[in-house]
Amino acid sequence: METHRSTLSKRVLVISNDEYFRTEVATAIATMPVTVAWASLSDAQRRMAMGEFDTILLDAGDQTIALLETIERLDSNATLEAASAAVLVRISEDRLKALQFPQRIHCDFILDCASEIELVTRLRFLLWPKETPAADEIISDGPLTIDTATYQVRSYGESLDLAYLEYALLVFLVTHANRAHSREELLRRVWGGQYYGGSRTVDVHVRRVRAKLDPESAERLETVRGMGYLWRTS
Amino acid sequence: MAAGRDKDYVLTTVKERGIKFIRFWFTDVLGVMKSFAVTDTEVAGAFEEGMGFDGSSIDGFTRIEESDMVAYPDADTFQILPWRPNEHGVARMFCDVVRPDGSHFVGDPRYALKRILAKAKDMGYEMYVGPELEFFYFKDDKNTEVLDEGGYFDLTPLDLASDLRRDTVLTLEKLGIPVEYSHHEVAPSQHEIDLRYSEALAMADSVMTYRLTVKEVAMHQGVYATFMPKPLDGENGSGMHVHQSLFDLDGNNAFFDADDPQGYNLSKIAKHYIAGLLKYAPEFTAITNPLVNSYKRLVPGYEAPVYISWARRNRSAMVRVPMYKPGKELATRIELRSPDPTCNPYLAFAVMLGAGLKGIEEELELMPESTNDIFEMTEAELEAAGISTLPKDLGEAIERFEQSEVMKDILGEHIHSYYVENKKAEWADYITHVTPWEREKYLSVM
Repeated sequence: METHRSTLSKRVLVISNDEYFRTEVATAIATMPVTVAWASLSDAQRRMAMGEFDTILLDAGDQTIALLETIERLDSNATLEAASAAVLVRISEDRLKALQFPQRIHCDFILDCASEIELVTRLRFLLWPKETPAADEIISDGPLTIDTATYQVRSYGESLDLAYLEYALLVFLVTHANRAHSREELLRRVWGGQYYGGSRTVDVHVRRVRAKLDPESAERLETVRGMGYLWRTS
Repeated sequence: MAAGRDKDYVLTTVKERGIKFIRFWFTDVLGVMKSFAVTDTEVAGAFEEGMGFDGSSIDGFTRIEESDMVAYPDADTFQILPWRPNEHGVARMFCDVVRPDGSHFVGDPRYALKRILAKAKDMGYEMYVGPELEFFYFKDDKNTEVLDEGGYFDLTPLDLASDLRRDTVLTLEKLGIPVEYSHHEVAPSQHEIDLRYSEALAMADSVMTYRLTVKEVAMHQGVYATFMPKPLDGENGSGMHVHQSLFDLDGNNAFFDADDPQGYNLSKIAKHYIAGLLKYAPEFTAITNPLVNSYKRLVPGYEAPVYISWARRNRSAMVRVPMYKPGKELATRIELRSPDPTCNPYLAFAVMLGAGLKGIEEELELMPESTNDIFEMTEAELEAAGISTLPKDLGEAIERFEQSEVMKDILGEHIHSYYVENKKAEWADYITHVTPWEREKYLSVM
């Protein structure tokens, strides 16, 4: 059996030349279910190529040019974009005006005078946007219940025999409900980076899921013409 | 895929649902499903190391001296079988067959299809297929006593067969095989269930599952379902029309072109693909129509193709291009009408795709659409139109297949040579037999 990360565990890359700040971060996030990698500003590029990250904490201190260059590089990094990664920029108040936010990846900032609890909270919001289910949550919607700890989906109390990708697709849509998701986004976030096939496979899997759901739930899995799919909550 | 979470999904589900046995499915070269059961406690190990088995007794696998084979389950195909009890249920996974040293086994039809799909992907395409499988219900497997005398699309009241069909469709959907249509076919007791299009590999798995499901559901109701291509004299046979299309990797239909100068809404790629199918049809027919009996279906007068041609409306053509409906670019596809449901779906999809890709590579020009009913044409007219015929019998088909370097290339030497050997033996056996027709016709007068 391959080892794999649980649904909760996320990967954070901290880019900073400031030893004191690094220690502060290490203490602050010690209780969070994350694996942390460290890099200096000059080393950031190389370190990013070595792995995938969910969130990057970027602290450039007083090096404004290095900061802007790094943001630009992050923004043009296809892996980060594909993984829907986010960047948290730590910056001093007097440099805020110079800050340019990236175009493609999600970004937030935090002032260097912020408290530990603020840092942790901002990181948490970036790492686990509010829709993401906890690992042992039971999600209910109409006749449908999904137990994410045991991967069991029930309709009117009766188990559905879903294949893995059908399950993963359904859970993603239900936990990111009432929003249209493009096929490309679904491929990226459900199938993951390993999949090189075309986006038509999403349609095929949606049909399989609908065929297995009860009629009421099947109707909630809506096709958004020219766009993709969404789950309409009851 | 998804960092091994699919395997975790399988292991957790096996535990949660109290599944005791997981059937490992794979297919021999002739298209017969093979299965062995693995207990719940062995599955985790099987993901890691595979399950060993003796390949020497599997048709088209190996000889005795190199018989050790390993089956690796494909976690994405994990599916609980709906016709088994809910408690201590049974699930299945399709397997890839490898050698003990971990190398791919070239006699595994699933691998043969994967290889040509990889080639398509290198060219920027993904193959989607939607097959329509026809079959007959009979009272048992000894006779051809029909259940009804219905015809095409007939709604026959109090008809056991429509209950059977409904049960089959519901079971298929529980197995993750969405159904497009199901209806009564032309011949008495003949039915058709059309599957929604899917990626070729998943669809080949689905065809294997489908054939088993149709038979299982029939058996539960005490009747017999058969995919035999031509079970009844003077009635239509059972085909497996295969709708197929190529999509590019951005999800666009590569067969569609709104600016087609000929007005078919077909791209150059589609036309080369069809031309490839037409050119190589005589060479691949041994795969798509594998039995002696297959060729009793490919005769004029029963809606089965005989002539190598294509058309939009004419259903007697070998390749049909369904009419384009505005706004339905994604549904642009072509339909190969010659195959029958006894073929090995992995090999059949592989040779179709291989022939089509060859057409694209060679930039073959597509012959004109055949508009007249080809069956009305005289031999001279056919020849003038450049229309040839499919092999007339298994003997001819296997000869064309044997000589085909293209088929050898698509399927690999191992499968090609085994198939030739096996089918030659089948043909040699058949021609030694005297049929009832011959006795009826000749005995009393000669």
